[in-house]
Amino acid sequence: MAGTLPRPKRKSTKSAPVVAPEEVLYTDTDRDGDTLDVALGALCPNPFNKRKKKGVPELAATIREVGLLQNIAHIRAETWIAAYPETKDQITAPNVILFGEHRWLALQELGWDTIPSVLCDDKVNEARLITLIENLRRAQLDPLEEAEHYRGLRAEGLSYEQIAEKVGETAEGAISKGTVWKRAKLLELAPEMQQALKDGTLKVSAAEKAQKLSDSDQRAYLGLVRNGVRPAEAHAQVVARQLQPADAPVPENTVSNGNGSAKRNSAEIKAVSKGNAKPAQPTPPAQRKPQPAPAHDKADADRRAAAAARDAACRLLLETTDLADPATHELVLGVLATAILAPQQQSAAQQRAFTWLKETGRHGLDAADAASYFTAVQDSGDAASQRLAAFAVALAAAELRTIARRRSWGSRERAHLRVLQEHAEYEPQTEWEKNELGMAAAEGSR
Amino acid sequence: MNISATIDPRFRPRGRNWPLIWAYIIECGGSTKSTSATSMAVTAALRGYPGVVFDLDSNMSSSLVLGYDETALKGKKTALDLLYGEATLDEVALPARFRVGDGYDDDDFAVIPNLRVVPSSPAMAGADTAIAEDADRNDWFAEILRSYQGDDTVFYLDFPASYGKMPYSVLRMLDEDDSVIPSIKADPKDVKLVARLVDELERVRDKNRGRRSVPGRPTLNHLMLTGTPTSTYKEAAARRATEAAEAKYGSVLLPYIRYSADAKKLYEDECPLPILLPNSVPSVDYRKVMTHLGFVDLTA
Repeated sequence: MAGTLPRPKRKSTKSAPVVAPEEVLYTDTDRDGDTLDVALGALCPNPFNKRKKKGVPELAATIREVGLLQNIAHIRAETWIAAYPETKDQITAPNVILFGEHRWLALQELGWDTIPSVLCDDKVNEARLITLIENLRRAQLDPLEEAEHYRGLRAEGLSYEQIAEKVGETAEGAISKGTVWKRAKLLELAPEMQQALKDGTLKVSAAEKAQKLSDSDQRAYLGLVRNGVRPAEAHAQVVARQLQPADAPVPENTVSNGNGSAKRNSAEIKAVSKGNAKPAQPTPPAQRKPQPAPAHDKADADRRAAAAARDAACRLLLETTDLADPATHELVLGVLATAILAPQQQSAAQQRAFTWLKETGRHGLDAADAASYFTAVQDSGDAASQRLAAFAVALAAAELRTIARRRSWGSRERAHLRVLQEHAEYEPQTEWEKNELGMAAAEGSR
Repeated sequence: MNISATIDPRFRPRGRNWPLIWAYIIECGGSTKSTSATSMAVTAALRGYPGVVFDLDSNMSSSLVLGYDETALKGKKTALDLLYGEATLDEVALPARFRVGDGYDDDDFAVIPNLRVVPSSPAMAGADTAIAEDADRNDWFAEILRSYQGDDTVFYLDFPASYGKMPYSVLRMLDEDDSVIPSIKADPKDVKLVARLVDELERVRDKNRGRRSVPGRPTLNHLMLTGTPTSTYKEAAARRATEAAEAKYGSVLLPYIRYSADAKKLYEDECPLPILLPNSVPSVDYRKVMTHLGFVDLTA
């Protein structure tokens, strides 16, 4: 019976047993999760680690005192390079630190030979994310370091949403897609702005406000913010300044446009709004998010155009008002009263008033900046100068309040408009401004 | 040879549609359950009696001996699919075979005629839990039997060394015509544990008393003693264990399977003993046992 079957292939007749490598129990090779004593020289920093190396001497002192409390982690260089060939030049040792670079540096300072480290070859594909999360947990990365991590993850093909999810899962609290996007955009800021962020002299929220400005505008913005101007005001001022070159050659025309031909005025407004929407910027406008509602866009452009026109009117009023003439006293007092009754926003208003006074050649005193100018005026004891300065600041304060983004105008804004209408031949041209003025505008306009 | 046309009625007792069931079970590890199950199944198959070996042990011993290790079983259905009711017997049962080459191609194996194997899987370790999760699974073996239509003579069931829900679900389908065959070594420990098996079988009978849907009468009809002393193997423990077995279970003792170092080679060679070493002492003894049980050579 069995004789008809072929001969079995036998293993039990072999002199030595055949053992496949995977069958060997507890081999000597290091496996993921094993803690190894790695020579300090056999480790090199993680190329993805953007964190500044600070506090190493303090850490070394702590380790000398209480010992190394927590092991670091590493990935073998060949595994790392296989996953990230672009970082090959930065891999200078047989092992790459996944996290724990500070501890490694501290042990070098202490003169230790080895450091206990967990082998994490299996984590190589998440190395970038792990590095970021480790850093976020251990110390606050500066926003630009954070931004660089996000950009790296983005380059790996993760969407902003995925980055937010992955970082949010592990970091304390949640992080939104928008936050990640805004952080990543910080890398497009002007170098001076980035430096200010690194130094801590500029807040992230303030930096984010300036993202759409050109490099030179960002520098101006940075100067204003450093001088204590609130970010929103600084931004408004820089935007307003963008408009001035369009108006400056023909300031009187701009104002007289109020009474001039509608055609010319609309062309002017168009030019102005275009100048505002398209400053010299690193990113072309096409890449921006489209505005949700075109109607809103129009109102916005109108609002800015109106602000530019009023700005010119203020300058005209300041230029033409003779404060010695008793006829102007009522005007001056009215403006001052409005300004005094309003909450003060002195630094911004002074800044603008100073600009006007300089441009109209009525500032009289030589001063480098607004603050020193107004201090000088105060100290001069010249009543006319003081009054002029006060008048200019009051006018500027009213104008700034009118510029400020708010839902609708109140009596203060209307009073300011009335002054401009009655004394500076200002006429509201845009639908938006007429709307804001409501009945008062209907009565005031011819 | 075709016996399917007229299946010997002794393999279909009381006119039922399924074959004899031989349950190799005892809660004692290494007690030669798999060796005996495969050796007896192969001996019968080579003599012309078709059968199926059910490997119900997660250690997969009889699957391995009958030609299927984990690599060979990749993507194949196993006993667990039967238990989950996700496959039929004919889908799961594979032709028994043994290794003649090195790889995993068909020509690296030779098929053993008349024999199929229901392979096990490591996941069979969770069989008891699977039944506990869903009481309907308790009927998995009953359903296999009731829907059976083939011409096999015996189902050889190789159990794990434990009494749990899975063994219960099978044992309750045994009648007095079927056999619970504890295959034990001639070792005092093994002999001692037979009493526990008898208790367990009594428990199964008790639970199913008066139930009409299942037979519920597993019976210890045969006791198989392996590794018994020979003229050259004279260990005292083996001798005393054999004497104890004779004294306690003399009425059900099968002819002895005498000790041989050859019997230890089948797992290494992945081949059932009657084919690996057909002239070794245990192979000769297994043939004697099968003759004793009425499985005379039909091919002779």
